[in-house]
Amino acid sequence: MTINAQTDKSLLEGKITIEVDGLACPYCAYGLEKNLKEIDGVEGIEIDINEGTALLTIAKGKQISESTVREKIKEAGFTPGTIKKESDE
Amino acid sequence: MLLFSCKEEKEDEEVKEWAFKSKIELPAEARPLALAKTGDDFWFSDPEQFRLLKIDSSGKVLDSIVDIKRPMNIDFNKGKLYVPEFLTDSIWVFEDGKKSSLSLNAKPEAPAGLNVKGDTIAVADFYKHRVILQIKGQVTFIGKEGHDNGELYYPIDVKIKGDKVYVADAYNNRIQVFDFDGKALNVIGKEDGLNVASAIAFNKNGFAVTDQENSRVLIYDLDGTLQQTLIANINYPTDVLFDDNKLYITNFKENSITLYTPK
Repeated sequence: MTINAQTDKSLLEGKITIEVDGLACPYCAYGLEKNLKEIDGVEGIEIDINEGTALLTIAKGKQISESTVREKIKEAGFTPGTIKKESDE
Repeated sequence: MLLFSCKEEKEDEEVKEWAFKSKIELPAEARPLALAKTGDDFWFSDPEQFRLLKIDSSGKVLDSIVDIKRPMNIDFNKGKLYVPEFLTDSIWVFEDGKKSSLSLNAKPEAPAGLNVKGDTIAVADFYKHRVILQIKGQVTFIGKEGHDNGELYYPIDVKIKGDKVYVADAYNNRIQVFDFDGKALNVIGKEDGLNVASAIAFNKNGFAVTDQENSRVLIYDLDGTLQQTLIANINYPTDVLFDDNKLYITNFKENSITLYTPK
């Protein structure tokens, strides 16, 4: 399948929130943070241990694939949940 | 106070019972992960705030070290504060206000904790599921990824005791004991319901282990036999520290350190 960067919904940009189960342990949460930082285009990460979420800020003009994000989460030993695109403001 | 003080061996044999004494309150936003004693004061790592804070015994902040990318299980030895920086795979040494890099002849991936005794350094290498043991510059690797005896699964803390290495084998829910050649000697805590063993501290009588997910601290004698289970006023413990007949426990889910004293 050809991926069209203009229309493919699996490409992420701006700010996204990812729900991740089991983030209570700080070592695991920071491990996830470490993994997600390795994705080209990720500019910032805020891990919320209490909420069990990771907020990713993707650099302006960059897009990353949802599958890459999900793979990195799995590599860190977690199961990725819902990925939600935040508003741009 | 010691009940038996005439002979040292009596002190060693004595089974201590611990009782909750008080909580040391920290700044509201602080989430203490690990503790180290420095003279009369303490340093604690606060990875949520990317910093370490120095406090007195009442919790009053005396000093700080900032911009550390997730400082984890710290250690203090001979005037030096050792800080594993989880996100950068670095270990920093702070002494007299100066920061330097620890000379380690192996590269950890997400160093979670360490223990320094003279020229012997042990590092819990979280993502590589092993302990880096460096003695006079010579490196030995202890453990590999797995769940059998002698294998490790996300080790978080490590302590050198005599000629043995005690590892908080966190996600195997146990403590493993090795010799300096990496030979597995003993497994402790597996039958005691540990759910993420995240820190170890020794005193004369034995050692304490944080049972992180169960919000407990387990007290063992030197043979690894469970002596006491502490639960009062403990909230997600990530480190323990014995000092001067006191037991300090970090509560990572709140801004406090719990203090126990002998009953």
